[in-house]
Amino acid sequence: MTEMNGKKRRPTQVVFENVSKRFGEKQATKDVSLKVPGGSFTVIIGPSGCGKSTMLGLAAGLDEPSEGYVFVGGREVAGPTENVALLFQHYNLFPWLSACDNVAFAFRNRGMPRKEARRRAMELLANVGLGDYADKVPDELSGGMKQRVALVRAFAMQPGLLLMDEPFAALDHQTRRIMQNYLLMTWQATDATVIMVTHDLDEALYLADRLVLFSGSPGTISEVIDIDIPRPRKLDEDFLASIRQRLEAHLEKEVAYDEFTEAELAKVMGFASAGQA
Amino acid sequence: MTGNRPESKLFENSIPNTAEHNGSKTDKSTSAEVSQVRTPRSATVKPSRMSMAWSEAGWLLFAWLLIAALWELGAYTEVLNPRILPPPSETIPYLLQGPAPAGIGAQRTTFIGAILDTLSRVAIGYLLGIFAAMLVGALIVRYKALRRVCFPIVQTLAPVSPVAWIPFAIALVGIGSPAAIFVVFMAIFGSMTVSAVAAFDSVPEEMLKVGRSLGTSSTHMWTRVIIPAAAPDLMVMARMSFFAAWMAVLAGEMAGINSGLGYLIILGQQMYNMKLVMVGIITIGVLGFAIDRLLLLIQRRLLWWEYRR
Repeated sequence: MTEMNGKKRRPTQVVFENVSKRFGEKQATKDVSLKVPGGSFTVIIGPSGCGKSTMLGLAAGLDEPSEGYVFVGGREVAGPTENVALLFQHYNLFPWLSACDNVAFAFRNRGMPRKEARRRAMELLANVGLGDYADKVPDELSGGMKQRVALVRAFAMQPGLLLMDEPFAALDHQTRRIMQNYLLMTWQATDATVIMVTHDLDEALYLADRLVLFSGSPGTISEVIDIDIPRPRKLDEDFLASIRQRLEAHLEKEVAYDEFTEAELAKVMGFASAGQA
Repeated sequence: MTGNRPESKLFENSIPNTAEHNGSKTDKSTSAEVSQVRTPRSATVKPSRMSMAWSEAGWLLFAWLLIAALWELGAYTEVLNPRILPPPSETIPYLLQGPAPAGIGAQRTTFIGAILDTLSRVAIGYLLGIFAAMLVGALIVRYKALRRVCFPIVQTLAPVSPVAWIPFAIALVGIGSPAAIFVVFMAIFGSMTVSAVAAFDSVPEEMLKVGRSLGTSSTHMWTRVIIPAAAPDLMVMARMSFFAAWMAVLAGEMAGINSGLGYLIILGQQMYNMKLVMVGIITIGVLGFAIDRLLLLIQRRLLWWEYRR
């Protein structure tokens, strides 16, 4: 699967074909079809509870679709594989392992001797400036450091597909900015396909080749926007600003559905428009 | 990281004894420098924990000396009846010389013999109980059918008092150590299984997902992810279980298993030897406390990552 010898491999394409997913009574997604080109950076954005994370679970092979098919790298997904890496908001580093052993974890699962696994993990950590922190346990690291370790661990097995569920949501604004650039740098050095779920519009516009806008419950795709602007990007660029406005309007409309009563909403909107006047 | 420096200095100044406990002869100004050169955390945490242990031991000693002094005073002024509550000045020497053998015939026992009996029973019953509970807990978490069938049974057995098993235990294996071990086992197995299931269940779903996506096989999932992740909860429950086990073995020894520390107390009662009763109580308390401290030490070793902060 993974070619370690620098040989060129085909970037991993992901295809969702008429995918529906139900969890018991609840319909998470309905008839979703999406093609994610190999090596691209796709961002899924949408309100809470619209089945964004469900899509990641399906691509990771952690859940099976109720209807439809999911293909990763041309093969139907049959379970989790090393070719697919996951990154979550809560880092999910193993608290009982040092940073180095966390990164070495996947190598060890492959049967690599401990010493060799640790040596390679050390190299990878040094690449992101964490060489001096290799022997610290996660509780001793800051949020940004933890997420860097998690990022290194996710890329350690040179996965063809990286799935991220709001990976930077818990970080403060500045750290998040730095981490987004770290992610882009790491990603551009590989051929990995990335699918990321986020709430953060700026993050989506800064990172995505392709923006997939989800809406409603059950989740469906309401729009796909390609962003063909070279990186690093400036968010005040006209094109991005115009997309931003459109997305914001869309999301505002979506949120109104379930969380607030109409009376509440009218009150809040009245307050907001009075402020603008 | 740098944000910790002023804090660590403050900490060292507030505990002037720190350097002494470390055995180092550096004066205060240089030790503050050292903490800046080293990583601040490891420089401050170790001595502070040491000195905390010392002050804890000091207070423990003080509290008991205070009680002993009041007791002695009570006996001296005859506010307390020394025949019922023998004062420390009589009990302690009696304890130190080792009480004479008590009982008759097959039930004859010595102080040391009673201690060894009780300790070996509680150790075997406890370890078996913990091991069986972890195993059954893991199986219940792993197999849905077992969760449906076995878990309700375990949950109904958990609240049964260990003493209630004694007639059954004696009938089954006779008077002696096996019955006591059985009682200890029953005392902790149910509750420990219930908490093991809870501990395994509460391992975060995302952590399991990440583990699987990092290529962990299903056996390694248990040994490398689930058990380490549940270890902090399990360890707390294991320490709580020890108290249950300790009480169960003594109750068992009093209620029919005629040997061990519990029986020593019953003998004291039968011979109206209150010094013997008192010696039994003191021994039970001190041993129980010491073993709990030992478990705490084991906890610190096993869960080393939780004590690095």
